[in-house]
Amino acid sequence: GKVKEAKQKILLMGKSGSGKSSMRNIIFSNFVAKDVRRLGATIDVERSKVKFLGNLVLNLWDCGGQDAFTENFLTSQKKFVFDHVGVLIYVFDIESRETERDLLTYIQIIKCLEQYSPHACVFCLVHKMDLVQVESRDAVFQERRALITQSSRSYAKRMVSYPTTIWDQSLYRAWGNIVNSLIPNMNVIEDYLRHLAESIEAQEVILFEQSTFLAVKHIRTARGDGSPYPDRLERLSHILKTFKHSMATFTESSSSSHQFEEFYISAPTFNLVISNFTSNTCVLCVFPPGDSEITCARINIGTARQEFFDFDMPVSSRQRSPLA
Amino acid sequence: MPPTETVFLPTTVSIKKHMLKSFRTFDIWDLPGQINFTSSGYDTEGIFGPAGAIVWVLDAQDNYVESCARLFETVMSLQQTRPNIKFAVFIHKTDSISDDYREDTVRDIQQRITDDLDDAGLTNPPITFHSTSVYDISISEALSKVLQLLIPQLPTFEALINNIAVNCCFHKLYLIDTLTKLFIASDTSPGDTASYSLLCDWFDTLMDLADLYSTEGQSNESHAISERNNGDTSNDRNAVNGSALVKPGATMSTLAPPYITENDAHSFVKGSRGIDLYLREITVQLVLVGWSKQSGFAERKPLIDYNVSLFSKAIKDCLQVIAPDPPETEEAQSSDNS
Ligand SMILES: Nc1nc2c(ncn2[C@@H]2O[C@H](COP(=O)(O)OP(=O)(O)OP(=O)(O)O)[C@@H](O)[C@H]2O)c(=O)[nH]1
Ligand SMILES: Nc1nc2c(ncn2[C@@H]2O[C@H](COP(=O)(O)OP(=O)(O)O)[C@@H](O)[C@H]2O)c(=O)[nH]1
Ligand SMILES: [Mg+2]
Repeated sequence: GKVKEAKQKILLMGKSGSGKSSMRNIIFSNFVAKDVRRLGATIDVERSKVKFLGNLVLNLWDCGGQDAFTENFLTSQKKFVFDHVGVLIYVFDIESRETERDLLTYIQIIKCLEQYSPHACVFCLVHKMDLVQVESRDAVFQERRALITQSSRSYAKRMVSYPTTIWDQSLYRAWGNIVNSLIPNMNVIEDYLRHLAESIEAQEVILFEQSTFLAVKHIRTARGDGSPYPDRLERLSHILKTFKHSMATFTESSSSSHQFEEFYISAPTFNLVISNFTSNTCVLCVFPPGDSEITCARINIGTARQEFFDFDMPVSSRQRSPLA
Repeated sequence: MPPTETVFLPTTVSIKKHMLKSFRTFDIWDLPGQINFTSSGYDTEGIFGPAGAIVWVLDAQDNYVESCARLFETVMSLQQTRPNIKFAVFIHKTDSISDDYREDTVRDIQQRITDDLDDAGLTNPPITFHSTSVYDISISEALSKVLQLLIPQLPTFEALINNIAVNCCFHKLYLIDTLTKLFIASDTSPGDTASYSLLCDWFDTLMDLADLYSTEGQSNESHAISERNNGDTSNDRNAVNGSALVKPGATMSTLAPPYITENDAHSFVKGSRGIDLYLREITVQLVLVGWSKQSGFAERKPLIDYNVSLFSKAIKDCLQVIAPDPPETEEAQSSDNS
């Protein structure tokens, strides 16, 4: 079961121009938001495999949204497309003037999904929210969400929707949650991180996937209660991704590879260390100030890295139990 | 202000004075472009008298011939009364010109102005040329150079920075003003925009991270610190730091610059491509920031830290000496062609 679960198909669908390929390229190919204007319309299906955590390969199908392609997906290619789907991500363009027609297409897609992959998870992104005035964003989104839920048939209760735009961290919130829903063994990861957090008296420990900088798991200890920023996970993704891009531009390297092994800040009120953890994750720790605290944290992260090592191995070869 | 919002700025119609507070204060006067201040009827002495430098903005998209002529008049007129004023010509909005054409435009403008001045008998005019745009770091780089025209201690700063750069294997080092990210000095190896741009981006990243965490969990945190201090005498810095805590509810903007840079804040990035970044606070207003691709740079960090401490002390002494000086003034004239 586990190995198959790791090869889930993720369908990315929605009307042409709604922003599917833009989001995919920003999250998984390290484009910055202003680069996406160069993208042309997707022809047919663009398939890509994204290695996420060691045993988790995302099999992403970016489906071109022009009518002719959609027509094919619903008829001759039906089984090919909708078989073995783990997740459907459906993108609605908030600017679209044909809401009714968009919803009808969505219903047809949902029907096919019910037939071939009834247990799939469905996420709907109401996209390009930057084009809506700030004051009315929430109202507009709630209204749209209600319509989408009505059209979601047997998925209505499970369907999760997010407002998104490529211009701020809302993109990372939505995609972070989607990817998280796919990661098995979350409680094992949590045990390791909690142990690390205690050993360095951290207020916060966050595990990030290294190429996307999406947060995989987040531990906040009692010491760190009361942060004034509830949206800091997606802000961090946004900040670190931007920095990574600057580094990549400077070194003229392909930015999908990671850009730093260690990053630390020693400020008067806090210490922050970001360090490579496993082959495709890094860990961010925030803990009290002081130079000796940094040294202590680096040693503890090193130890935890060793213990965590086999988490990145394929499930079958993993023997060791989490830390006591 | 983000560059995209500058579109909404109203046209400047009267002289506006701005103060730039750094390790010392600079006055910036924003002059409207429609008025010829050298013509009679204006108090030229009052306007240009205290000026140390004039920034003349040319719109590279526009027909710049007229503005060049006006610049020529202004330079000639001020040369007689105030030969010490330095001119910096910003050839602006170069983002909208294609790369090949950009160089031609810059060269053309430069040629035109120096030729005219040469013909008028001014062979070595105090003018520098910079191609700028608000959409990238070029505008900050050019403004930094203007600022440096007004810092008499620049050679001292540069000598100190060169010394550190050579001894600690930095490829490029800047002394950056925390509020504006302008650099008031750098080592004198050929400057490159890419280094400056990367280091500014890094500095922004640090500020963003500091915003998220510098206010956190204070009551609990100070408790943890006092506990730890019982067993750790080497760390009496923490006791001092307690008083530097930011009040919760402080807004982002009041938080941004000083907090990461108080009490000798520092930061380091060990890059995976052999590029390492180093930052160290010198004063609340100034940070030293640089990069290196020397192998073993990270391992030698303790030595570098030690050297930078000496550097920091030297800079502080230097600032103390110049502190009582009356602030010099900078004057900016913007020639509006659009
Ligand atoms: N304002 C705004 N524009 C966006 C946003 N996301 C994408 N866009 C723009 O939308 C346009 C179309 O984006 P694509 O990602 O190519 O659309 P697609 O859904 O892949 O289209 P098909 O491949 O034809 O199905 C691009 O020009 C983007 O610049 C957003 O959040 N806000
Ligand atoms: N393309 C481009 N436009 C710019 C740049 N800098 C300013 N602008 C635009 O030029 C216009 C006039 O700018 P402003 O600063 O008000 O001019 P002023 O009258 O000289 O003070 C505004 O619409 C700005 O958005 C630049 O670097 N590139
Ligand atoms: Mg596409």
